[in-house]
Amino acid sequence: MALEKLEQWLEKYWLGELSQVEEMQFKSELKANKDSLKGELKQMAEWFESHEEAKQNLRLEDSFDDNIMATIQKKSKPVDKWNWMKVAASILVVFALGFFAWWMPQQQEQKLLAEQEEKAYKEAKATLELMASMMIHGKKHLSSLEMINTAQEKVKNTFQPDRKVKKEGQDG
Amino acid sequence: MSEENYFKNIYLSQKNKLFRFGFFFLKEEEEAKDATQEALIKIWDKRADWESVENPEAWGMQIVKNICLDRLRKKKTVQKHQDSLKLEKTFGQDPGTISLWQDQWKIMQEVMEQLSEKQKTVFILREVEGNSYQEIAETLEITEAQVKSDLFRSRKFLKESMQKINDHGIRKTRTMA
Repeated sequence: MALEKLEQWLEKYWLGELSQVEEMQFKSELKANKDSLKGELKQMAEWFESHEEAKQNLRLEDSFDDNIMATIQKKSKPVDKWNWMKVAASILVVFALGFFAWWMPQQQEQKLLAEQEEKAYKEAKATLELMASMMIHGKKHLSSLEMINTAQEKVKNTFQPDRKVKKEGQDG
Repeated sequence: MSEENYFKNIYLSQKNKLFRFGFFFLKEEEEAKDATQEALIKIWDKRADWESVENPEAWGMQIVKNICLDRLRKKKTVQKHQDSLKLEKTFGQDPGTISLWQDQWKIMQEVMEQLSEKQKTVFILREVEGNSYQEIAETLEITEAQVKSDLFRSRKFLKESMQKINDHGIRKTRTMA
């Protein structure tokens, strides 16, 4: 490769005008002719060489892959989801129990009240029936008493004149 | 294809690219590794959005970029302009390789310090990863013209930094090695 060509490429390189293919050719030529180069071209050859070295040596070991895969497998284990579901289910159960503990006595109280109302109604009804019955009996007794009273009046009126005469006789 | 397999093939396969990108931003291997891990887990967590992602690679880069910027903001006081690196772990014990990389690292840091976050991203994606203008434009959701403009600007700084190093003979590590 002629030195002029390398010089041309170098100028184009500084200006950022080398295509990717030209740049690869430039690097390759510099590498191949490194020992015979001088000055700026030699410096460029070393610059590119150091990058190549860096690319080859700056590598992560295989155990890095294993660590990463172990980490992501741990992260995506369904156990984690299950744990969350267990926590969620536990919270739900606690809330449900709390709700029932609050709700059940209220329901029983209402039921009791409803039962008592029915009982009270029955009691009132029975009392009213009794009263009605007693009032009917009372009316009968009243009629009897009236009859007795009438009879008494009759007897009184029947014997009253005799008594009056007798009394007038005694007084006279 | 199961979600796990899709994740492996499409996203986890990009890990090194994401890691390098994080490294050039954060300047620390461990930090870059953590950022890459965080990005990949975030991608997994957002799996409900996968169907609507047109360019998974660009999406992955955006996520890692945002994580890197967050991390940089959080540790602003720590090693904002770290010049030296512990490179033995990455580049082995070869002093030649290390010194070469340290020289280039200095140049890169000089260039990066003068660039905005977006320009830095363009610079890394083009210079290190060798992405096309179109790929970079898609990743950053900007036009290709903007990519070219940012690249032109960063290469101008690159040229200046290289000239400065040559003029002042800063490349000590190379000669020492």
